[in-house]
Amino acid sequence: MALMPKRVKFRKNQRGNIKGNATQGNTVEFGDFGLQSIDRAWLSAKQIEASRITANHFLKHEGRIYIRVFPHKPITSIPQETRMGKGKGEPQFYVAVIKPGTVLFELGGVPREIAKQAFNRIAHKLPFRTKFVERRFGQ
Amino acid sequence: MTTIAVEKRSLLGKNACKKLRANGRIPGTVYGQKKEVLSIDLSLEDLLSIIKKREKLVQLQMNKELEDVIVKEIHYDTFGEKVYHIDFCRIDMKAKITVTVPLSFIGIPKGVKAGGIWQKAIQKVQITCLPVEIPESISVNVEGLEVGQNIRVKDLVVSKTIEIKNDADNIVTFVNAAKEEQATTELPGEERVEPQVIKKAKSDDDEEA
Repeated sequence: MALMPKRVKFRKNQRGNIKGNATQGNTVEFGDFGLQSIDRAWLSAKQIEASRITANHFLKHEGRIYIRVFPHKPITSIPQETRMGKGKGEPQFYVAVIKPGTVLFELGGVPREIAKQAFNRIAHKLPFRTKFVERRFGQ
Repeated sequence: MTTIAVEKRSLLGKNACKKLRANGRIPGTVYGQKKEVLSIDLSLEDLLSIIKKREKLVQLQMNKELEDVIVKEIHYDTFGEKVYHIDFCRIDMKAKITVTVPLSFIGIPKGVKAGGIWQKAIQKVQITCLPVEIPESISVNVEGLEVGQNIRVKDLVVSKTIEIKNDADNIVTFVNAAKEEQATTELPGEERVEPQVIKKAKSDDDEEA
């Protein structure tokens, strides 16, 4: 199973809109290097899983990858050729809401060049632009 | 120790700071040693040189007076590209202080070549020492680590004058055996599982109604 919440308060969410930049989770905390988003978007559980598999395939279990985002938001849809009305559709998948600046993945225990290559491969699985970041001095 | 020139800042607040940054100056604060809290500004070039050298100990020159300080915190923008603000803390060069110092890991463990996964449990340690003795980082040689072995805080090699404040038994880094990858993708025949919905317990008033 792809990532999804175990317990929820409400089965369906409103869409909402993604405003502002990330004020939390915008620094490298656990690993040595990170992949930071530049754009705002929804990141589905499938895309997170695809990124994880790509990284593990490339790294061959060298180093450790940290996933810093979780798909909390349910996305619903109605079946095709359905008449108007009859209410909101059923949840189909879960997404993580990504603001610009969010650190999506972190990598530790590998050299800088290897980390860059791994993140480059992950970036191909993501629906928005990202950048490579490192730990900052004085934080 | 680098000496940087700073000026006392009289204009405070968001808009004044925005104007300062537009002119290539960065606002900052100096505090500590039970003296007054000073609002200052310094040039962006000086600040970038501190960041580049990763210097913790700095000397501030204000009105021909010198003050010894350490860099307490630097406030960056969301993307870590711009610097917004810097905090300096006054120190007494003859008294011991407690600071956080990063660890630098040397080499690649033997266990990694044998198929293990190398993990770092701690990236920084707290040390107590005289300001002049603050190291840029503490080196940890991990080349000899085999699968299943670890390095604890008590194993770190530092000079006798430096005292590490972290718990001596805390694990710094370790190499463990690689686990088999768990398939988390949904199989075609598998039923879709939905999260459990948290329901409120009915109160007595609701039941009566």
